[in-house]
Amino acid sequence: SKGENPKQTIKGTGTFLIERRITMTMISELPEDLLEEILFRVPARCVKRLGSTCERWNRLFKDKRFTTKHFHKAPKQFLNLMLIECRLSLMHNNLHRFLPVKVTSELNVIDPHSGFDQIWICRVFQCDGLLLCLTYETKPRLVVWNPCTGQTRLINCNKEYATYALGSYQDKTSNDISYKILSCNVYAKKQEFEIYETESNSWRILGVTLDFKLDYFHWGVSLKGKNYCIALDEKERDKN
Amino acid sequence: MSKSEKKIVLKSLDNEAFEVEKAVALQSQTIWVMCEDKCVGNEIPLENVTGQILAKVIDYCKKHAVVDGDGDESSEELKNWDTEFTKNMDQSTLFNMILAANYLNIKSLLNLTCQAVADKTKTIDEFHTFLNIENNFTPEEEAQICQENLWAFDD
Repeated sequence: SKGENPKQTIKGTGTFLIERRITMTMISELPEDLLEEILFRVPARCVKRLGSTCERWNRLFKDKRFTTKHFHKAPKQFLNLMLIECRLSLMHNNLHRFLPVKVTSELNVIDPHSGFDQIWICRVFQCDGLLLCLTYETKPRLVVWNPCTGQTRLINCNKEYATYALGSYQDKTSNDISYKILSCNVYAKKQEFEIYETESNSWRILGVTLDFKLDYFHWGVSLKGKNYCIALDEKERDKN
Repeated sequence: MSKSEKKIVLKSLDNEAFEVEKAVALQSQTIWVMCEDKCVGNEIPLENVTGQILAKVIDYCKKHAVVDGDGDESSEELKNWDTEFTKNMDQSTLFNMILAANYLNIKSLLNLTCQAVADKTKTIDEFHTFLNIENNFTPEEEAQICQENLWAFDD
């Protein structure tokens, strides 16, 4: 029978070893690397839950080597988030229900530096499962947040009234993924773009003039490595 | 190449012999290396695989050799065949298949069997039994991990 340890039932009998070798193989006989091969293919939610009950697995599931492989091999799952009253909440969609959207719980961004338990989030932009949040306490700041690992990175910015977009690119020589943030001061008369590189940790002005104007209210979306924004055609607007 | 050279005999741990086309057997990197090195004759002893498992591995290799060679079956059909192939295997057989695929170094079979185990284990309780997990966190520690990872515990 499955799940029953044959050692306990036929212990001490001479034929047992050969018999078991041919008929029964238990998971404990799999070497660690093959066990990991199985776990790479288990969806993230399940893996995280397993880690919550056992120190050994919790440590493994936090290991970068494991998470990188898991990211490539495991079936992807959706996480639905909604920004309500400056907090991000988890929500469940079910179109067959009378109320199709159910908000279940709040996700907290923990900021180890500010002393606040909670960060108030004004706007969110999503890219590759990472969230770029514009927060406001005493001054505007950006937080790049991975809601699945809880990792955060704070980025100073000086413009509250701007749109921000997060984008990723693969370094051609090292193959590492790096991130950039594009900002645009949409409320100003002359729109200016600035770009932030996570590598150099600094903003620089992009000297470009465009014949369209980005929308104030819409931050755009990221899809398969490209960012899409809603813009107004300047010439068309002048005609009207 | 004469007809006999195209065939190869694989011998299992329990001394069962299987005569197969060389093209079928060479999907195993382990066997491929053995043949390249010419360190074996026409009969290859496989000391880690039982006849029962080896028969299944050969079934898989036969199916995949035909498709790779002739291309007369669509990848869709092959995928369906793979699903059927692992569908009725019990856990113990799957573990043995994983061990065999690893020893024989057949990457696609290792992928298939590991995925099958992951798919068949659905609930957290099943994983606990399956991984022999002993809960060694205190309820407080467990609650904290749960609180920090609400996204995974939220149904």
